[in-house]
Amino acid sequence: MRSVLDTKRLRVGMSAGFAPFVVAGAGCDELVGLIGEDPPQRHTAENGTTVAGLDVDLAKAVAGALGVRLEVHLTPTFREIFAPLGSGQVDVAISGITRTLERARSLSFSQPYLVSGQKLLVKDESRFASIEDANRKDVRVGFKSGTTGEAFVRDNLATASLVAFPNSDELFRALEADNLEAAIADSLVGRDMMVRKKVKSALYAVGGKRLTSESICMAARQSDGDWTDFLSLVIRELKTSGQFHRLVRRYNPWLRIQRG
Amino acid sequence: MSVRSPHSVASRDKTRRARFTRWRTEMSGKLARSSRVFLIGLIIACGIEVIVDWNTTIYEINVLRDGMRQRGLNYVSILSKAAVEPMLAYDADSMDALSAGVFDDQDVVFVRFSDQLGVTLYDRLRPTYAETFRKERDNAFRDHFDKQLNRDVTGILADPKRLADAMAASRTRDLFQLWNDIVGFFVAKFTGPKVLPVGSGVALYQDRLSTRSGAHDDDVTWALGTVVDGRNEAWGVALVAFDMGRTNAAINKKLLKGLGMVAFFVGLILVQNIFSRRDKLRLLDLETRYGNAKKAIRDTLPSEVKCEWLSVGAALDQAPGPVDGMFWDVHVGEQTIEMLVVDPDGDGIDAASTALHIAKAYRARRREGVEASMMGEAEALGAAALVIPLTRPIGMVLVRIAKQSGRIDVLASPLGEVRCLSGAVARKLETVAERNAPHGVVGPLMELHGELGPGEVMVAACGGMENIESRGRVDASEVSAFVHRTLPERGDDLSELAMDAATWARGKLTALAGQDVVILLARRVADETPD
Repeated sequence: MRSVLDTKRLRVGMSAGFAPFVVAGAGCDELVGLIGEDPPQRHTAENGTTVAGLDVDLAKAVAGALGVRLEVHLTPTFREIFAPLGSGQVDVAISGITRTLERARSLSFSQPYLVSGQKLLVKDESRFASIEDANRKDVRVGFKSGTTGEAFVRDNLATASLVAFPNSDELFRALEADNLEAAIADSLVGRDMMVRKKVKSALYAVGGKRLTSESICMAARQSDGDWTDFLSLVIRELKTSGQFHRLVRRYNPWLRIQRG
Repeated sequence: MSVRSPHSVASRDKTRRARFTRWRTEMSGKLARSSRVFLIGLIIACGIEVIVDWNTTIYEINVLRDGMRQRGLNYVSILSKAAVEPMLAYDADSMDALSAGVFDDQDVVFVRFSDQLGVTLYDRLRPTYAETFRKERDNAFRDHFDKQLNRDVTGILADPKRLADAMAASRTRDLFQLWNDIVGFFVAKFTGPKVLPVGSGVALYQDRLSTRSGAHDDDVTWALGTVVDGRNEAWGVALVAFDMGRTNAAINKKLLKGLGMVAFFVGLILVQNIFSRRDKLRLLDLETRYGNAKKAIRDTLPSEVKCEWLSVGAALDQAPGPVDGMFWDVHVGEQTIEMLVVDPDGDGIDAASTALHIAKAYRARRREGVEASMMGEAEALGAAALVIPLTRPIGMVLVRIAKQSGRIDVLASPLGEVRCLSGAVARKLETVAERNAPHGVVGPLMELHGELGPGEVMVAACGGMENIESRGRVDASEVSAFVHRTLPERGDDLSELAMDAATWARGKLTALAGQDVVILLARRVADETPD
C-alpha cells in the first residue's frame, strides 16, 4: 500500500474474460452495446488494449479512494493472473477472482464484492433430476480448464466423461451443438452466455440450484495485511454509500434473475 | 230527607299524579295507534338490524384480509432478515432459493428483491399466474404494475412513514377499507397514531393499488419491507405480492351470507311487526269497544236516588280489561225501596249487551208499575234475559227494604252477600229458603230475611259470578268491618264510602282482577220515626 501511495499509481492485474467483470477490445463495444443506457467508461490498459467492465469500474473506485492513477496490466489468460502479484508487478488482481482455499495459501483476499457459484447447466430441464443422475459414464460433462468448475466436476462427477475446454465460448458452443449433455460453469458465466446470446437455447440448472457458493474478491500479496484491509474497507464503503449499487446497476442484465 | 246522588264511578284522578297517568295512557294509546310512529319504529328497527349484520360481515371480511396482511408482513419480515447477505453480495441465486419457500404459499405470485437504489436484483413471477394475468388484463404483470411497484419500492427506501401515510390516504380504496379508515380514525383519537417499528426495518402492506382507470384494484396486494443489516442499514427491499382471487372469493361468500342475514332478519322484523301490529290494532279496537261498553253500563246507572228515610250509596268498580257487565239499580217505592244488582254470566260485549237489556227491562217494569213478588221479579228478569240473541244467564241480588218496619227481604244468586251493620257487629240475614232459579237466572236463589234497625247500615257486597265456588268472592263481613271503620270519616257520603269499599275489596282479592265489584250501602235514618 505504501508503494501505491509513493508512486501515486495503482497497478491492477486483469484478465479479459467475460462480462460483467472484464472484457477487452471488441468485447468492450459489445458490452457497451448490450448495456445501452449509462455505459461503463473504457480504460486503456498498459499494452494499449481497451478494457471495460465491473472490475474496471471497481479498480477506478479503488484508485479514486487512494487518489492515485490507475494502471491496468492485462494477462493473456486467467491462469497467468496471479504470477504478476507474486513478482510485485501489480498491486492487486481484480478479475472475477473466486476465493478458494488453495489460492488463499499464497494470496490474500479482500472481503467479497459478489457471490456466485457453479451450476451444472443443461438444455433439457428434465434431463437430470440431480447431479447424481449425471454422474454416469455415458454422460459428457464439459468444463473450462483451471476454474473452480473443473475442481468441482473432478470431485463430484468423476464417473462422467469429463471434457476440458480452454474458454467459456467453446464450452457453450459444444453444449449448444449437443456435443455435451451438460456443462459446469459459473452462474455468472452462464448468464453472460445468454445475455450475449452465445447460446440460443434456454439453459437450466440441474436441480434448479447452484452447486457451490463462491465469493468473488480482490486478490493481493499476503505480505501486506493493511492493503487487503484497505481494499475490504473500500468495498464496504462503496456498498454503504450506495456507490457500489450505482456501479453495479448498469450490469443488471448479468446480475439480475427474472423468473416467470 | 234528601240523599245526595251516588255516582257510578267516583272521580279519583284528582291528584297531579293521576292526571299524569291519564295523560300517559292517552299518549301511549295515540302512539300505539299511529301508523306514522309504527313506520318510523319499523325503519329504525330495520336500520339497526342492517347496521348490526353489516358490521358483522365487515368484521369477518376484515379478518380474512387481515390474515393476508399478516402473512405478507411475516413473509417480508423473514425475507428481509435472510436476504441481507445475498443482497450485499448481489447473489441472485440465493435470493432465488429464499423465494422458493415463499412460493409454497399458493396465494404468493410474485417476489422481488431490489437494491438500495430500488433497482431490481431478483424477481420471480408464478408462471401460471403470469399467463392468467396476461389473458385477463391484456398486459404483463410487471408492465402493468411497473409504476406502482417502483413507487412503493423507492418510497419505502426514501421515507417509509411518508409511504405509509400515502397508502393510508389513498383514494383507491373500497367500501370496507373506507369503513376501517373511519373506525381507525376515531380509535386513533383515543389511542394515538401508530408508531412504525424502529431498528429492525419497516414492513408495509399495500392493498390500495389502482387499475389503469384509477379504480381500486383488489385482485393484487403486496407486502414490502426494507432489508436491514445488524447495523440498521437498509440494503434494499423485499416485496411479496399476492393473488387475492381466493380471498376475494371468500369475501364474496361472506357478502352473500351477510346479504342473506340482512334479508332474513329484516324480513323477520317486517313480518313480525306487521302481524303484531295487526294483532295490536285488533286489541286496541277491542279495548275501545270494551271501554265503550263499560261507559254505556256506567251511563245506565241511576244518576241520583232520593229517599227521605234511607240514605243510599252504591258504587260499581269495573274490572280492567274485558267488560264484565255488572250493574246496579235502585227503585224507590212508596212503602219499599228496591235495590238490584245483576251480573251476566261471563264477560265481553255480549255480557254487556245482556246487562243493558236487563237494565232496560227492569226499568220498564218499574215505570209501568208492575208489582211482583221477589221470585216473580226474578222470573221476569230471567225471561227477559232469554229473549235477546247471544244471551247468557244472569246472576242477581234483589233487596227490598220496607219503609215502616225496616224489614229486609233478599233474593240472591251466589253473587254476593248482605249484612246488617249495627255498630261494629255485622249481622247475617236469616235464610228463609233455597229456591230453584227460574230460567235465565243463575241459581240456586237464596231467600233471606232480616231487619234494618234505625241508624243501622245494610251492606250488600257483590263480586262476580265466577268466583262462587272459589274463595275469591267478596267477603261481606270484611267489607262491613271496613265500612264500620271508615264510616266516621265519610259521614253522610255513602257513595264515596261505597267506592272506597269497592276499591278496598278489589285490593284484598287478586282473584277479582277480572270481575266487577258492586257495593250497596243503605243506612236507615236514626232520628226519625217512620210513619
